[in-house]
Amino acid sequence: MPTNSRLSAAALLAFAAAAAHAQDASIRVGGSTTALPIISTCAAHFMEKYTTWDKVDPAAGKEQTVVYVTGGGSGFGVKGLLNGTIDVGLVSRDLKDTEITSLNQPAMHVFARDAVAIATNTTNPLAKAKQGFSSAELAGIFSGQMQQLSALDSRLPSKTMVLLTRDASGGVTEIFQERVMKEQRLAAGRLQFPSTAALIRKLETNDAAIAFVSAGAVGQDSQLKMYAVDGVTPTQENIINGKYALNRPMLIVAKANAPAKVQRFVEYVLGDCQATVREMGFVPVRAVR
Amino acid sequence: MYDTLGDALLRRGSLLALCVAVALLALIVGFIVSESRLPPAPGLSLSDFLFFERWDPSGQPPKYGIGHAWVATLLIVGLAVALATPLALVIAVFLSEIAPPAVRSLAEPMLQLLAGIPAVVYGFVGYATLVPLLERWLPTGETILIAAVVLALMVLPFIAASAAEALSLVGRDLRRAGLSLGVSRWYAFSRVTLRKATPGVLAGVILGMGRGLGETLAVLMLAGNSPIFPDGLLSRGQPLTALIATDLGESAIHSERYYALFSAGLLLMLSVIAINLLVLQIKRKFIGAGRN
Repeated sequence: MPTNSRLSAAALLAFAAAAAHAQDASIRVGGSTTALPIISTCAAHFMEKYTTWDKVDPAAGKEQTVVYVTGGGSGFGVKGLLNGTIDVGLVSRDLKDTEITSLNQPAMHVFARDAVAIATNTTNPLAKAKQGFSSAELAGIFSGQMQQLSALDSRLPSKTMVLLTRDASGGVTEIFQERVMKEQRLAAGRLQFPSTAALIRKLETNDAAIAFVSAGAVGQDSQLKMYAVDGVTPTQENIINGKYALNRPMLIVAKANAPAKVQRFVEYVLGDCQATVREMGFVPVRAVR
Repeated sequence: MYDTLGDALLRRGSLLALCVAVALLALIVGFIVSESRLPPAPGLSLSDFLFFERWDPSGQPPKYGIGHAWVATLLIVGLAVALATPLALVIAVFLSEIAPPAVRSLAEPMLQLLAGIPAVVYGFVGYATLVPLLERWLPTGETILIAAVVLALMVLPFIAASAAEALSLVGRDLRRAGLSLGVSRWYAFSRVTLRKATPGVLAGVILGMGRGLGETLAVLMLAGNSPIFPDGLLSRGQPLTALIATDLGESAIHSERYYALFSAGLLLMLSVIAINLLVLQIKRKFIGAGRN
């Protein structure tokens, strides 16, 4: 499981400082860096809405509401919960059986889904010729075995395709490798981008480019076209019911019998926070209020 | 009494500061050495790691080879220094031989300013101007060539400043002695000054090379960050620094990938240290020769 050592070290320092100042007046959330932007925005909204804990839960004291959010990776989301460093774990994959056992039947909820979309810009010759790809075609394209557009469809020009991917820290690469590439390797000639935004900019300007990228980032962009995979389009419905296979759950996990404050925060993420999930480009799992 | 106390404090204090700085450097070097494994994974030979294997840590089974990164680094830095050196030499000659003091006092700070511009700015300007330009003819504008052109601009002030310094260090009396013999200005410059300053100029070029080796952000943006063996200047590539920056965040501590990246960092660090020692050596010789 990917972990970011620098981030978790910083997180531990922050927690040490936090613990010294306000022991029980704060809750601590950590884990998946993919989930980090959503949850830190949610936490900010939560702290704005409920300025003191008694507004969250009448039984609690009048201390100021403080929610610390940090990254560390999905692995840290589980480990930190186990050893008590954090109260709420963020995990961008299904929990393993061993993890569920060691956490002693935790309270876990899917709060969002992250889908991988196949996209080009609308002026790419592919946009007119194709509505979707099969997994085998995608593996052929992204392994570099099919390099020319004409290899996909003989009516297309023999133009070299430009492959765009996030670098390995983007969770989408993991899903794509596992569900589409399987045994095959990603082409070494692919361009790797440090952020989704940089990738999208390149995709908008390069007519030969094709990318697999977080679906939320493509959704509202009129210059880009998303493709079906094995005949299924990445609509919200298909992602939630699992027909569109290129997706993964994002979990929020707390220990069983967690304090009321922690439970209220989890409820907030599953409720009001769903609007933020959509704004950040992920797929909400509950009706947005 | 007060003076001696002050003296002692200053002496002890500066010694302490020096010790801290040296210890810090030693700790960094020690940490990188202790976190490196050569070769980084069982069943991977050293030559495969350094030269032949491809880099694919997320494939099954994972592969760790940094040959592609070495080739990209050498191509980019080599080309950048080759492009920057002639221009830097012309600038240095102008500054030390031709420029009137007023022009020099304006041009030298400008050169320093050029050295102070952050790498990300160079990278972004290159990305916004040169990459789309090249994309008119190529599938992608991100190439070894563009990375090298922008890197050349970045190392230019370093080479020019050291070369100008070396040229002006050549004694004025030596120059005048030449001119008094009735030779032309060009003859005196090319036969006396330049010959005398060659080691210093060379040190500047090597310093620029060391600076280029360590550059990360601009080359990451402009070379495409593709883990491929470059097959020419119009190919994409991923220099060593970009490889480390891209992959380290995702490597679990003490995993094979982590060891591979630290080993790559160790090799990069050793080459930069070697280059700096070479510069010191050349400078020492140069200064020694200058005194005779």
